Amino acid sequence: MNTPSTVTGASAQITRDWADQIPCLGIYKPRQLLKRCGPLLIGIALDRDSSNDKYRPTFHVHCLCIKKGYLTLSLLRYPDEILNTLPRYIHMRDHANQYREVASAMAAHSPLPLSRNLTLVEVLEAYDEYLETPGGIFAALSHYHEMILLAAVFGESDIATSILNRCLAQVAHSKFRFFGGREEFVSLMISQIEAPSAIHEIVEHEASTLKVDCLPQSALHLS
Amino acid sequence: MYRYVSGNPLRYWDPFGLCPLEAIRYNGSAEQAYFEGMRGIRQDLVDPLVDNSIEYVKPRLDNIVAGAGAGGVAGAGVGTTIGAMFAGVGAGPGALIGGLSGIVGGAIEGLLSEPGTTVEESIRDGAIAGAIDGAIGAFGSAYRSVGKAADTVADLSRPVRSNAELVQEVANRAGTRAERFGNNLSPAALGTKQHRYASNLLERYQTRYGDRGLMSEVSFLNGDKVVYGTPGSIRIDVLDITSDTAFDFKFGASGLSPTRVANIRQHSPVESVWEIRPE
Repeated sequence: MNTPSTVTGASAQITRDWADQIPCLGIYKPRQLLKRCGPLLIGIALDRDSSNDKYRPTFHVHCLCIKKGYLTLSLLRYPDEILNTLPRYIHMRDHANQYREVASAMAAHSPLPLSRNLTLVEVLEAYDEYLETPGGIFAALSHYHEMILLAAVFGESDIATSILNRCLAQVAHSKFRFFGGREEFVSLMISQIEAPSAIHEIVEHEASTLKVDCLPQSALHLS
Repeated sequence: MYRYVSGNPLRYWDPFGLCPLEAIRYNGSAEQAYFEGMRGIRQDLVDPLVDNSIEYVKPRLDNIVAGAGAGGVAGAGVGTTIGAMFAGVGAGPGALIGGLSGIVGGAIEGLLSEPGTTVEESIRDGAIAGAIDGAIGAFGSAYRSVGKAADTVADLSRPVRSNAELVQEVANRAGTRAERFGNNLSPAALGTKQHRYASNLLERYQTRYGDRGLMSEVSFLNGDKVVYGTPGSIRIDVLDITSDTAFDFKFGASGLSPTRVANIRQHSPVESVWEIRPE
């Protein structure tokens, strides 16, 4: 790889390099490799810092069940299996030497398999595992929110309600400020659990807003 | 995660070089004792032998070579056996240590042999000496291995900095770096360099000594983590996910404004925001 001189050129180059290593993901934007799996986007973000001289590759998902209009980094993981053996950040000067090894390791140890269809159970288990980590505990509310809607969009209201109850038991009251309060969150969730078709509409609206039609696709099955 | 604190980051242990106690760890260590001992051996044994002229060594050269060879073989054999008995050494390293010790032992045996000693006698004496020295070497290595493990455990149990104190120390170091960044920089450019230095230092620390749940330069929007540069997002200098705390570095004259605090709390799940300024 020739190291491009511009920031934009460098971003495009490292994105292409990574895409070559993980062909089941498509290039969504520079530094963002994704595929669509039903109501989820799954992929790897090559998140840079302000200096632009290094980037951190991280696995993540984005749940299309929530109206946002921008890409979020849920289930943000740098797999534990490689956390202590490979660099957390890749400096641009080391990119050519390191990206292949890191990319293949990340694809092999991805919290969700990247190359096949998934089941709702697999996805919810991945969320549960993440919720046991410090990062998951820190961002628990947004992850419970996504779990509830993922179960609800499949019409699994019992599972969704169960997750809602776990959420209320484990998340501090102050964290619900993004929803206007705890009671408002509960009301919103109950109304959405009862209306899976409305969540389907949100999924398609978000997919259209984020322009994800060009991405590789696989299915998310109930079981 | 948090193996360096036995899974409990709230206990605030810190084995890194930022800790002044690190210097104490190496004072009087096994390594220093080893090298001090080797220096003594050279002064008391090797140097006098060299000084006693080549004339002494010359007639014993065949004995030295024979003793070293036999000692090496015998020492390697004994070292393999002993090394395999200790998880901290292993058969391969045991063979190497035993073999080297045996070579030295056998060679010394040949060196100290009486005039007229046959090569066969030197092989026999060298093999015996090599086996003994190989055993001593392999046992010594095992002892050092056990000692090192004990040292490591002792180091891990030494209380040092909390995450907040670590971030403060990083800010202190970024503050003292200002002179090296040059006097011709604008305050804004200098602040950027100091932020970047602090971020890199924190990442290097965690890469080397384990994740403490401190994330540098993290972007949020409406409670969600987002990629750098997402329109409308805010960026936190250092996020401590173990305590829901955001640390905002301030290297210039301005301080942390109430607006900035409100902005961080509006967009990220943190509960508290701290200004961190070099002390």
